[in-house]
Parts: sequence; structure tokens; C-alpha cells
Amino acid sequence: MRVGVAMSLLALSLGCGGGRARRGFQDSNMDFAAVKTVAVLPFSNLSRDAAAADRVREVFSSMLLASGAVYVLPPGEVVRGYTRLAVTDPRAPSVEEITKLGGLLKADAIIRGVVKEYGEVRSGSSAGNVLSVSLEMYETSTGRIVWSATSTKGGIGFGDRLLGGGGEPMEQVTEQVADDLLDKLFR
Amino acid sequence: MTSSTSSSAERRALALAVALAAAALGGCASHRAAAPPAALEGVGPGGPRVALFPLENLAASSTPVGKLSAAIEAELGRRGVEVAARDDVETFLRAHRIRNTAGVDQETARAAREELHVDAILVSAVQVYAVRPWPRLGLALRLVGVRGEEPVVLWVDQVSRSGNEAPGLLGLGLVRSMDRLQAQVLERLGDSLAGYLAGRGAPAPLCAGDGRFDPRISYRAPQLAQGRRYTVAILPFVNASERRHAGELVALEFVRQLRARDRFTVIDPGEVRDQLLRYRLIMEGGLSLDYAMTLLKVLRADLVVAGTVREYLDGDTPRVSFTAFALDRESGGVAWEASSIGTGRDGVFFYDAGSVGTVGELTCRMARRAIDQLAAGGGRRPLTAPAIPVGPLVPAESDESDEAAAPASSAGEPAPPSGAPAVSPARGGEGTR
Repeated sequence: MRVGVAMSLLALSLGCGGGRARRGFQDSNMDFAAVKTVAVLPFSNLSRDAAAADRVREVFSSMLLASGAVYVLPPGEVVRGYTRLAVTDPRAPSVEEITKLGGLLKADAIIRGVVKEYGEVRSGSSAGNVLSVSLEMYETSTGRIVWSATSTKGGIGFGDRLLGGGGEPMEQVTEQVADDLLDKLFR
Repeated sequence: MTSSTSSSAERRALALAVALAAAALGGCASHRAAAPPAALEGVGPGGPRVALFPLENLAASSTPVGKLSAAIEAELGRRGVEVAARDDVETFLRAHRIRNTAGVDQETARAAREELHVDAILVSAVQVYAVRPWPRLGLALRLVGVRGEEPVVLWVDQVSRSGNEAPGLLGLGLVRSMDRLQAQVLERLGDSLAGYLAGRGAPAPLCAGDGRFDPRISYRAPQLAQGRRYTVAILPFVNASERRHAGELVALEFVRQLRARDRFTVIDPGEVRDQLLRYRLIMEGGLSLDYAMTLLKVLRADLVVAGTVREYLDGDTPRVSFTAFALDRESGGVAWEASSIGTGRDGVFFYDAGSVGTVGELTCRMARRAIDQLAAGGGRRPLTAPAIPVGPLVPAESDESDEAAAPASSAGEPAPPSGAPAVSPARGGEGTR
């Protein structure tokens, strides 16, 4: 009986302790130092703002380049690549398209993303800007996903609920998300 | 005693008068001695003869272009600038079938030099024009030298004003009449141009350097050598905003900011446009590396600047957002990038102190801070930008096929067939190829 209770408590505590879900993936066999040139594909947009994906992609690309760790191809060069290869949907390329794109653009990795939420959220009399983005990085030589991460920033905090206010400007939230994703990439 | 005092006072008065006269003469002499800018050396004693091209309307509203154009011409006349007759200019434009008057290409420059006998062409554009609720006017002028083989931007300036931007005490600073605002704008532009022609003014007067409008994200590669001179081509920015012509307006601001720095030689946007058309360089989705390399080669430039404008909002609180980048011919990669976003009320905490009232002025301050970083910024670790091979080029009007006219790709596709015009080395300037 005692053993049964102890086992139940142990199982319960393990269940609670292990509740924190992983929000990212990093291939432990991948040598990220070998990634020198990266192409960032257009992001998919699931938000209501039609320009959200382009804005987020631009900020993320600029910050990735500004990190100095990798060379990011200019957006026009990426457009040339997927247009020339007649990629059906550059927002969601197939493994074959990724490897071909990598060869054409001479990119070691390709990043694609999804903007899941972008804009203002309301709760009662409070409002705030929120952004949620998921990214995936593909190794172009194999077409495998080697890294993925999600970040959500902004929204309505305790202070906003208590004191009101419109939250942080969208550009600041976008930079926070990009910063967070870069932290996860370079960790 | 009295007599002695009187004569002493007279002597002092005489000495003072002589000193004042000498100072005045000296002032006049130094004013006369101000030499014209080097680019205009050898022009006649009356200063350069200028052709005024028709005003380009980049405003988002209907604009009395004829009236503004006449006012610019009158202002030039008032400043003593010799302007080619308007009828002659119109006949010239018709004869050469020139419809784009927003810039000057090599052909137009040569023809204007030979037929209109001018030393420079003044290109003008109206950026903002609104009468209500408050008058708003933004004008940009650019003097393009045509005395050499290639058109060169000699002087560029733009002034944007809003009637309610400086109300002052009891609203005494408000300007309610468009005519008055127009006179103020033209006065400032006229002062700037006259100052340049007299050798006293800057070739591109800068707006205030304001740390509030620093780029939010910026990158500068170390391959951009300090102190070296660069020839720069500026492309119209991709316009992702809702405002018509926002791409051209921001690009014009970058022309001005780069011209203001001695280390950059700016190719006139008209020449850039001509080469884009000649080689059929259509850039859907932005500038690709092979197109950039082609353009740099045919223009004999070192850097090409391009970008995207996301927001360009006029009004009481203007708002601008853009990303600009420069591709370097030598490395074949991105050498500089800046992403800026700003509003006219950034950093304003006490009433309207420090607010920026017009979108033109805001763009100017943001572009200035971005270019400050390109011109003098530091650098990060070397990048591994791929080298882009560029094959020989065939202009579109040649007998070669369209495919042949396309530039070589970065992926090593076969280069276009030979028989292309020889591309000469980079334009003049210390350190250029």
C-alpha cells in the first residue's frame, strides 16, 4: 500500500516537473559553425495584417546580418532563386526544392517562417501589441530541418491591466521576437 | 584744450570711418573672391547657364505643376541664374522624345550641352502638396552637371514645410496661405543654390543630425575602407507602403545624403534608370546580386544602394519606415544595411518641442543617420559573401536575343555571348577601379 502511494506521488511529481514543453529543436549532429551563408525565404502569414510577414522577415533578416555571424542573402537574390527554380510555394518549399535552392543561391542554410499572430489584442479596456513567430532552418545539402524555434512577445501584461496603456509599439515587439529567436539560434 | 580734444575726436572718428570702409571693402572683396565650385570651373562670368526641366509630381495629390514650375523659374531669375528659355527646353524635350524628366542620362546631357548650350540641368520634384487643413509643400531640386561626358549631381536640396509646424507664441508662426509657404520654401532653396553657385554653400545641405532617428538595426561590413572614395548608384526603393512614389522619394533623399559626403560620387538617377532600361534589368521583388553586379559594371560604380519603404505617412505626425542596403562591387555582397523606423514625435515629451512636422524632414533626418553609419561607421567581422562572376554584357537594343541580354547569374549559368560593349573601369575618384 505504502509503496503504491509512494509510486503514485513520484509519478505525479515527475509529471508536474516535466510539464515544461520544449519550444525549439536543435539538431545535435549539426555543425552550425559551418553555416556561413543563409537565405531567408518569405514567411507565411496567418495574421490579419497582409504586410506582417514581410515586415517580420525584414527585421529578422536585418538582425541576423547585423549579428555578423552569418551572411544573409539580399531578398532580391532569394526571389531570383525561387523564381528561376519555379518553386511552387516559396513559403513552404519541398526538400528537393530546398536542396536545389541551396545550390543555386550558394546558401548553406535556408530559413522559413510563419507569422502566427501580429497586431493588437484586447482584453477589457486594455490593449497591447503581440507577435508570435515560428522559424525553421534547413540544411541545404540534405534538406533536413536542423533548427526550429518559436517566440511570442508583447501582449497585455499585469501593468497594462492595472494601469491601462496600449502596450509596446509593434516595431519594438518585432525586434524582441527577432532577438529572442536569434538567442535561441546561437545558444 | 578744447581745440585739441576736438581734433582728437575727429581723428578717432576718421580712423573709425576708414576702418569700417576697409572692413566693408574687405567683405565685398572676399565675397567676390569666393570661387565657384570645382565642377563649374570654366563657366562664363555670369555663372552657369541652366535648363529647367519640367517639374516631376511625386505628391500624392493634384498639384499646380505649371504654377510651381513658373515660381521656380522666377526664383532662379531673381537670383541671377541664367536659365534657358522654357520654349527652347520644351522644343528640345519634344525633339528628343524625352518624357522622363526626373533625371538626366548621358544622351540627354550631351544633347542639352550641344543644343541648349547649358552647363547644367535643374531637375525639380514636388514631394508634398496640400492646401488643407494646413498648407504643406515639399520641393526637391537637383542640379545635374552636363559639361562632362557623364551627368553628375552637383547640388541637391529639398525643403519641406507645413503651415502649422512652428506655431510659436500665440500662433504667430502659423502660415495659413499656400502662396506664403511657397515663397518661404523657394527662398530657402534659392539661398541654398545661390550659395553653392557662389562657392559658399554646401553641395547638399544636411538636415539636423538627430540621434532620435538612428537606424534601429544596422550593419556595416569592414570591407568598406575608411577614407576611400566610392561611386554610388541609387535605385528607386521598392515601395511597400500605401503612398504613391514613396520609393522614389526615399531614394532621392539618399541621393542628397550621399552627395553631401565628399567621399561619395553620386550617379544621377536618370543615368541609372537609363541603364536599367537599356539592359532590361527588371527587379521584381528587389535587387538580386547578379543584377546589381551588372548594373555596377555598366555604370562603373562601386556601390549600389537599394531598399524597401514600408511606411511613408504625411500628416501632423509623419511616420516613415524603410530598410536600405548597399551592395559592393568588390566583394559581391551586402556591404551595409540599415533598418529605420520613426515618427515625427519620437523623443517628444514636452508639448511639441522637438517634433518634426513634415514627412520630408523626417525622412531626411532618418536617412542622414543611416548614411552617417555607412560613411563613418565601424565594421564587424569579415563575411563570406560569395563572389559573383559577371559575364560580358549585351545592351537590349543590340541584335542579340533577350536571353542574351540577361546578366549572368551568380549560380554560374553560362555568360551571355560575347560581342558586348567593353565596360570601362570605374569612374574617376581616388581609389576607384
